Amino acid sequence: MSTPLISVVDDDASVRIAIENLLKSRGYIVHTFASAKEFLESPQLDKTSCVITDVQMSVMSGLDLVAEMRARNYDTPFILITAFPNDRVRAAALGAGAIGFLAKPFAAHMLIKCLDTALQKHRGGTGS
Amino acid sequence: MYNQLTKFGHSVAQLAFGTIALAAVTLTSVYVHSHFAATAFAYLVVILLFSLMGSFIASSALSIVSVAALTYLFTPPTFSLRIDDPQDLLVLVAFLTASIVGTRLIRNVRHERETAREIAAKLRQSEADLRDREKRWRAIFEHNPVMYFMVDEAGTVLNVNTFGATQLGYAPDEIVGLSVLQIFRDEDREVVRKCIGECLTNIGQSHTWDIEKVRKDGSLLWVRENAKAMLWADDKPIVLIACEDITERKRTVLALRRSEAHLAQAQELSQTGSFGWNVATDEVFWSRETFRIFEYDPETKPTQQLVLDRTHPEDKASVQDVMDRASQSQDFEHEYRLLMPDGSVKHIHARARATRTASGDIEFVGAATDITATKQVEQQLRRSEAYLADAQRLSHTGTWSWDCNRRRFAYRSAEVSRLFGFAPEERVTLEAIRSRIHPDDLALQQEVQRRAIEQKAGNFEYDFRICLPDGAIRHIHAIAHAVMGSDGSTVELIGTHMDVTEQHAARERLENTLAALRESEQRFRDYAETASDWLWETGPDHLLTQFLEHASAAGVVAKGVIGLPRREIARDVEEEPEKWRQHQAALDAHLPFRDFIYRTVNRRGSSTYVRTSGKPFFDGSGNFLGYRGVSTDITAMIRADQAEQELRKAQAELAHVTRVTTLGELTASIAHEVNQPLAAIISNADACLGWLGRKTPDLPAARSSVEWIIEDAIRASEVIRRIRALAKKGEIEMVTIDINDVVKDAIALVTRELANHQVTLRTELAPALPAILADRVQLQQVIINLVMNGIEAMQTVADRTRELVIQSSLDGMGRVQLSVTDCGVGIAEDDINRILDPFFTTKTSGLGMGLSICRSIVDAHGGRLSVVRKQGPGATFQFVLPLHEEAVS
Repeated sequence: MSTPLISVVDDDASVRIAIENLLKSRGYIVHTFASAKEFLESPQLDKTSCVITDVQMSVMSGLDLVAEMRARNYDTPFILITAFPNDRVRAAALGAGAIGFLAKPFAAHMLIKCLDTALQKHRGGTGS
Repeated sequence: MYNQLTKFGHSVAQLAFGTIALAAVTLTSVYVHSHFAATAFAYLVVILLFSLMGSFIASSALSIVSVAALTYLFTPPTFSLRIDDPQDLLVLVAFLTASIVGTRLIRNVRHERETAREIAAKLRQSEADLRDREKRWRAIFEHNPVMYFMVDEAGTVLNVNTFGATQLGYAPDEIVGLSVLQIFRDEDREVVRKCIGECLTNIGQSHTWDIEKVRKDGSLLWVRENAKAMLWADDKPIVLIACEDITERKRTVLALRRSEAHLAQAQELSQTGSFGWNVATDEVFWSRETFRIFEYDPETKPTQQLVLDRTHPEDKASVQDVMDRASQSQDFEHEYRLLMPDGSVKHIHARARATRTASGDIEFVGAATDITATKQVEQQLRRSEAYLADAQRLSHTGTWSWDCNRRRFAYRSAEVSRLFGFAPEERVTLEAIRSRIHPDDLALQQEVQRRAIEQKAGNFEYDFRICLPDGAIRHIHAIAHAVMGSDGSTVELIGTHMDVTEQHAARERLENTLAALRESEQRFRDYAETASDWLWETGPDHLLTQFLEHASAAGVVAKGVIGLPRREIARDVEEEPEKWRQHQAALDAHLPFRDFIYRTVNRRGSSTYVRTSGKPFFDGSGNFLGYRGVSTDITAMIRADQAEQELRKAQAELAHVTRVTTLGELTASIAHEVNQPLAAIISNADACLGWLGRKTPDLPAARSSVEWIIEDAIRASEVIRRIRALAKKGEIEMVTIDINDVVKDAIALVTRELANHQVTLRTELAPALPAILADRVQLQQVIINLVMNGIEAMQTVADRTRELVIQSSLDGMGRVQLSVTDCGVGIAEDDINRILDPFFTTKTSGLGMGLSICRSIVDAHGGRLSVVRKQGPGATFQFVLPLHEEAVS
């Protein structure tokens, strides 16, 4: 089984870099994108095993991205992270089918755990 | 002869009476028949008795007659001359002998007695003569106008004549017995003692000396004393002193000496020597001064040749000529020069008069005066006259003298003619002169002159104009005074004419300048009055000397401030010692000061704030004289300032409140801003652990992770700093800042907010803008506020990109300008004018204070916040801020 590709979308460069760094240290292959649009237009869209995206982004929010992906029939699992954790966003995220919803700052193991869950589901999903 | 006649008379009488007596005896004898002898005896008695009458011859005749009678009558024969009896003859012879001898004896006795009587008479006579003589001598002694003193060895006065005593003011017996020294001055006594001693040593030798005697009343008397000692009774020496009063002589001698000295001095001072010249004997006499003038040794025997020897070669002939003519006894007077041995030249004026001496010779008596100085003065005078003429010409001043009686000029200097436009040598009539005086001035001039003549005393001055032929006008200032004649009337006016045309012009210019100056003074006074409430002046000791209130400000300052220093007028010295110390230092250093503000009380006793400016002033030599300056009552301004301060404070409070409110609104965004770096930090930290926990730890990756952690931590603290700054309730802190930096800081705080509202921010920040003076936090608040408003205005926009534009730029006047433009709902026309007012709001929530506070903040920065009408949707808020002055320069 090939190493899964993780795409990270966040308009905050440092957060992007930090998540990439974290995941790489755990042996994942990571691609980062500064906006949803960038990700949607990238070749990595099809190969991505899990998308970790920020919720609050200008132009297109993380939730919009999820909606857009689903609209394009991508069932790639999502993990939503946000610096504005409120119930409305959480409900919307989980409603959109997100594997995890993490509030920044989040513990690394939480992300890994969500990621592992997502990959398992994705693998299982594809497998099934 | 008389004696002889007397004798003869006596003899005749003797004879006559004897004969009668004899006859009587004869008759008697005859009658009685007396004896011849008895008769003879009787005859003898008669003869002897009558012989006492003296004449021997008569006695002899009587004897003979008796004999004859006896013979004739008594001898027998009687009546005959014959004598018969020898005895009778014997008797007769005896009788005759006896009578003769008897008369002889009686004559002798008588003679003896006569002689003795004569001797006695003579003796008496000589005694009387002696007495008389003594008396005379005594009188001479006593009253001879010489003082005589007789002094014994010890100096005691034995005798003094009345004159001597009287001269000294004593009675003679007052002096006798005194020591002679008492009539001398104390200091002369030793000399007197010595002189008397000398006399006593050389007895019989005369000594003479002059000395002063002291009168009883203390006055002095000059005497010449002649003294001589001689041996007196008992061989005791005495000194005789004859004193002659020489006071007058002394005085005369003194006077003579003085007059001689005066003459010599007079000669010396007048540099006039006198001389005498006897032409016949060629004897010459020179006074001392003559020797001095001719520079000969006074011991030289003066001769006429000496004069010629000294005479200047060029004058020798003329001097010789004068001398030759003088020989013919002509008075002479001449001037000549001397060539002195040192080469200098002297001018001599000599004049002499011929007189005739007792011996009939011609003698010249004359005087020679050294007139060198006079000559020099004369030359100088001539030169001064030339100078004066030059001076008159240069100063355009002419002098003149008007003869009042003859009514014409007695004198007119050349410059007067020149002033009137005539050539100096030209003969000018009075009419010609008058014709050139300006017609308007002629009458006045004549009037002034008439009054001067009447008034007599003092100077009188007047001005008039001269019209020159070329049409030019000359202004003349005349000064003159009247000269009195012996009868007290004005005989002459003496005066000067001075050309004052230039001064006149200068005065006109000066007057114009003065007028301009007055105007300028008034102008500055106006400035001062409008710019201040009063003017003041202090002296070198900083005490108030002048205080000039403008009418509008009267009563602002309490009375009685003159003579006080400012710090005593003020009431805030103790409250603000440092301000006053600095002010005093400026005063002591004589530095100007500006806008010094202090508090005092006005006449009604209420607190008054005064703003004063002053500058030191100095005299021509740079000595500090004091300060001059202006003061203004700024109480109202201060009160307004204080009110404004209060307002500012309130506004700052309000601004703070709104800031905090805004922060509240931004809480979500701010949390995001903080959480972002924190998330990054945690992730990187975990990553780092991951890299290190590998079988082969990836150290470079771990290092990178730590580096990112550090960067993120810094970013987090930066966010917190911004928030804290914004939330801080601090004093307004005006600093020079770049507006772009403020914009960037503000954006950092609202980025997430923008993102949350899907607003795109576009910034167009002009690079290198000049710095402004502003409070960073307040300015940031304004920008955040405008951005938040913009976000809110675009809330409902769905049909277009929500774009917010922040622009910084320089406006047309070089001020920094910042605008925030949204593309939201825009502002209704009606609201535009009220949008910045407090409590105006179009929103359902909020107080409507945001923009109002923004406006206050911008106003406080000296700028202006405005709403710009805009084509298309949305609104633009912009503000301009003035440049910080230092940044501009």
